[in-house]
Amino acid sequence: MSGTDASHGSLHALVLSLHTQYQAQIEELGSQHAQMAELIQQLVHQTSTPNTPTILKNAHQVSHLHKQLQRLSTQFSSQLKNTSRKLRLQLKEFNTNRQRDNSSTNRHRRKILLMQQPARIVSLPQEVLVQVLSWVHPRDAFRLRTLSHRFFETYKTRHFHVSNLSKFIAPRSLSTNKDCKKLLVDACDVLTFRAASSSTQITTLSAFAVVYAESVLARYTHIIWPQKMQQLTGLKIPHFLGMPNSRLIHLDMSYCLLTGEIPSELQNLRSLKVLNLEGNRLTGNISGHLFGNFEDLQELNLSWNAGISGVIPDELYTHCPKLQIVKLHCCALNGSFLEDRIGCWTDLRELWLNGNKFKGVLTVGTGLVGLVNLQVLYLRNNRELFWESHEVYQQVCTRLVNLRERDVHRVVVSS
Amino acid sequence: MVRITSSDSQEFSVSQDIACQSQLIKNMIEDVGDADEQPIPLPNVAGAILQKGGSCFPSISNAPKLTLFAVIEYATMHKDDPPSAPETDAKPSTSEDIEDRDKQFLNVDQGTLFEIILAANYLDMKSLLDVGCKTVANMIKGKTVEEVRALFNIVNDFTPEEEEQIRKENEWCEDR
Repeated sequence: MSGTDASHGSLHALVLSLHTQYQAQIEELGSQHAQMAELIQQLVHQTSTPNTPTILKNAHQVSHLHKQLQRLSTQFSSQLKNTSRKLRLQLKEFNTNRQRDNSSTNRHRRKILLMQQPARIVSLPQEVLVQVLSWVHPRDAFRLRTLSHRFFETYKTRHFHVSNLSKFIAPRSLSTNKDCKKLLVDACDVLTFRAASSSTQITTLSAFAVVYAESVLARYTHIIWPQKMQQLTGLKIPHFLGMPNSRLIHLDMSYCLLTGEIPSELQNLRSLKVLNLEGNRLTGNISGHLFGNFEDLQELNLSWNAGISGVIPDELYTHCPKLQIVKLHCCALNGSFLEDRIGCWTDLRELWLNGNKFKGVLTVGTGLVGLVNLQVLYLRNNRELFWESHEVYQQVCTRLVNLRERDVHRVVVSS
Repeated sequence: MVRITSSDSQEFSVSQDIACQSQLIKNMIEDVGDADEQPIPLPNVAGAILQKGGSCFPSISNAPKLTLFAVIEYATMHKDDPPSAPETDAKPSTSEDIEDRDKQFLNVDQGTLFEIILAANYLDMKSLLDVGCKTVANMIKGKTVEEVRALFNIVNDFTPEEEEQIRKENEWCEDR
């Protein structure tokens, strides 16, 4: 329609300008005519009373006016001819434009009639687009969202996250181990976890990642973070890890370059049985408040975190009676070796306390004697921790019938 | 038998078990009761001006399959399917899981495919919608962004600044 509109506009402008032009000319002509009529009137009057010089003068003026009028009307008529030609041309153009537009409208209409105007991917409503995209692996999400705004917005919806993840998280876990839904975080997961943990920087992405992580945690009972995580310097344990509804019973985040204190977010993982944070860069105390939550904890490994200091909190003895493996070696723990407390861990199989700063003297009365299941006992490299005597050491070792591994004993140097 | 009419007033007569694969029609029949009286209008589904090889416009070759016509064809094909079992964890489905007959059925031009998906969505036919979405997903898979744009005629409507922003966000998840 635009062709017609344009030519219609120019046609209208032309006619308007013509109108003003003619208006002016007609007025001019009109005044000339009036002047002439007046002169002729004078002539008529004068001829009735003969006065030759005035008649001659007036007649001369009349002929002059006549000539002027003639000139004006020739000019006028030529102008008229000119503009009417222009007008004709414009009208012709207007008509052709209108015809062309009409025919294309018709064609268009016919096309709609024929094809119902073919649907495109962008004609799909969002919920359908979500269904389409939910079948594409989440790793492609980051790429495909750059297709257009439409896709970008679709990828942001929670609906997409949920339906996409429900299709892509379950299969992997089940392919390896049917019984214990073990998650070995793969590269894709690493990325999304990472995005989720740096939520302040990347908002759209992390929204996706958080949901991703949440659904991972909702499904898995075992999480083992890969060594790959080492590359991701500065990663904190993500805040979502401690979702109250998590069913996590096994969390292995060893050698993940974790920094800071042992994250208090872990406190919600109340069903946790195995916690392995070995070989990180954690600092601070072992929080009694935190470990008071893990009543089912069977295996605790905080070893090789040189920054972990302070004493073993009371709660670790009293609230975690099911502990079987305690690996706290090579940290910076201190305090006295609480012999009677150790006895709380009646199921204890392995005790690794070497390479700390524990002090004390171990006697026969030590709680160690009651640990009938103890198989591994490492206490060396605690500069102020000694056995009372060789005899006591022998005695204790004889009592612990299951003991397979123990380190070289040191006794108090009598001085 | 159930009578249904398309947006262009074409009337179809189909048996009730076929028609009721559409949850929409099923609900309508349940609401209205006796369905024989009046045809059910489906204003959102294009009808049957162009049956395959139809004579209305013989000059158009390879005419798209008619949407409602196609949908009925699909429903007829699947009328004996057992009710779909709820998805279990044990057997996760992927977009590759498409029956051969469905693959063949959806081997149509893009416009028709999207028409069918829209119709399935409107008619609330879960299995057809599902298989349609899977088909489109398979077309997307393994393609670069540019290829997908070209395939579906998607216009990149990001400003250069927005594009740069997204590129930055994406940076750290590439080359892995």
